[in-house]
Amino acid sequence: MIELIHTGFAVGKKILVTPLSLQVTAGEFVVVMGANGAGKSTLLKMMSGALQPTKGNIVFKGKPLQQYKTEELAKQRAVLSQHYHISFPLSVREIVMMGRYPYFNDQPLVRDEEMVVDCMNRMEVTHLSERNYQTLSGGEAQKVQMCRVLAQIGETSATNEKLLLLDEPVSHLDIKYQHQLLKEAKQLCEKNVAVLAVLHDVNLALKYADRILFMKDGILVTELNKKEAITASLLKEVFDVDAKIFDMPEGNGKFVSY
Amino acid sequence: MATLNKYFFPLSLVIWVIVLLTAIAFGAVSITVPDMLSAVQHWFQGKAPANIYEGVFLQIRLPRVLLCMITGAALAVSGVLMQGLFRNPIVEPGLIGTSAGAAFGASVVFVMSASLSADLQKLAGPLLVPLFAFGGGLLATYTVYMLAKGTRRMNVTTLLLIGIAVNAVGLSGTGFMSYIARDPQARSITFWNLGTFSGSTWMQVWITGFVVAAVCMIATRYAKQLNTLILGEEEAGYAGVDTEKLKRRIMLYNTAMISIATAFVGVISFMGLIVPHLMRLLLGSDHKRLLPASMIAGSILLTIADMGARLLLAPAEIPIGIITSLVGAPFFILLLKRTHILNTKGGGHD
Repeated sequence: MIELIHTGFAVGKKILVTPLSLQVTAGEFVVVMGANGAGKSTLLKMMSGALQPTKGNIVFKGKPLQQYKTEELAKQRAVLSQHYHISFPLSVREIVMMGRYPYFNDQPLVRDEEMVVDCMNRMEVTHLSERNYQTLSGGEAQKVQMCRVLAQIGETSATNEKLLLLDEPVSHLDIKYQHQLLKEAKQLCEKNVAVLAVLHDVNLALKYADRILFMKDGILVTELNKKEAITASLLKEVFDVDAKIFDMPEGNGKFVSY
Repeated sequence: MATLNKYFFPLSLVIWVIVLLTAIAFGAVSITVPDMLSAVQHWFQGKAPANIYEGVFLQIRLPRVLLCMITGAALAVSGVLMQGLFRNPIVEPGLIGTSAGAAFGASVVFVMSASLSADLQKLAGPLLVPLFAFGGGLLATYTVYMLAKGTRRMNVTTLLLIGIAVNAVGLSGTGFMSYIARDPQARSITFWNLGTFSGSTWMQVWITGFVVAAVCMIATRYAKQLNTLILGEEEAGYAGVDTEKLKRRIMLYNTAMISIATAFVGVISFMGLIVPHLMRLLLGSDHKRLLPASMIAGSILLTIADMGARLLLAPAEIPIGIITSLVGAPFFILLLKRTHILNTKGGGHD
């Protein structure tokens, strides 16, 4: 669905992402990991179309990414950013409805209203619907933004595949909702969506990812296709931590302690 | 909140009509409703006004009140647009240089028109003044915007400081013009820096009315995009908004509207700050409601302020800018305190 061909990004002489090649197809859940400043967000921004790569190019659904119009792209990929700063009072419902903006002209259609309700139910924020967004806690706000992004993904089909980019989507969430959010993303994968998420928790990545990319200093160090292949030396190299790796008691998968 | 939403528009329209009639009725000469009706009737029949009351109503009071209402709507809508664009609740045309730039542009015409040929002088009032005001306003707004954008994170503190600097340039330019001006010109510049609706003409009503109506109509079409911009520029881009295009357009339309209003009535500060803020408190920030609500509230409040300007020291008249500043400045300080910009960290919102 999306293919990076020798794609890199530099500001002046400072290379933020060393040219790398990568392919993500619909139905895949790819997690990007790495220390702070490893170039994860830059990679994600290039894939979202917000940053124009300074090297190589990106092909999205068979067409160069930069040839898409912003409104056209908004119907085919959604992005959850790390931070939101909102200086005006808006209700939670109004924020979630923004996810549907690319789909209607003047007034939301019944379909859009239903989608908003459905997304709020899925992230369990329906009770916040009339609350002023500015009064929410960090975790609540993150859930609401996820709702908006889910609403923007909207309907999908085999002929209408979509891309979901998540930049540290669970940074403010409690344990329950970390899993809730990633389960939602995982379910989208079964509905013709490709998901690429930046995560910091190795164990969450091991649980949900189909593939894990490890980045360090702007370089794609390893693409871990088999999660069982994770090693302590890899974690040492990428994160500079001494980690121990265990087998899950149920016998499926690995567990990392650090 | 929901009930308020339902009743806001009918209620505000009723208040609007009451304020309109009251503003027309009271003044140096009082005008009764029957006078107004018969004046309109005579006008439709193509007859001359029957008495002085009808004459005052048609030639002085009505254009003044209408221009005031249109300008109030323009200032309030401009506040909404600028705040949306800069993603900041304390921006208004008076604070980011638009008005000062427009004032300078117009004062150039005031002073220079004496040296123009007679034909050009006739054009100066209705056409050259707004045109030069537009040029000055656009230049000032654009300068503030580009300078603020150049700083890595466009926060309020930077924006206000750059606004102060550009305002100072505009003001000293206007000051210089009034210094080199001959007496009557200088007087009109001074008066005009404080804002006034005395001497409103039908020509001004038509020109401002046309531009303001057009800009307001266009603005409502951008309501959704302005909403999305609240999330942040990058995020608005992800949601399908071409933010650069949006900013360029809104800035252009808005500057046109404010410059033309400023060209005719002078600098009126703080309206663009107070009205959108009050409307946000009442109705929230959805631009679909916020824009029309601010339009109505802006025209109501400025008309009340103009009544104050006419009646408080009657028969003398206070420049309206003095009234809006007297009410607006404390409000602005309150707002600064509330948004924690004056706190010790000094970073402010961005």
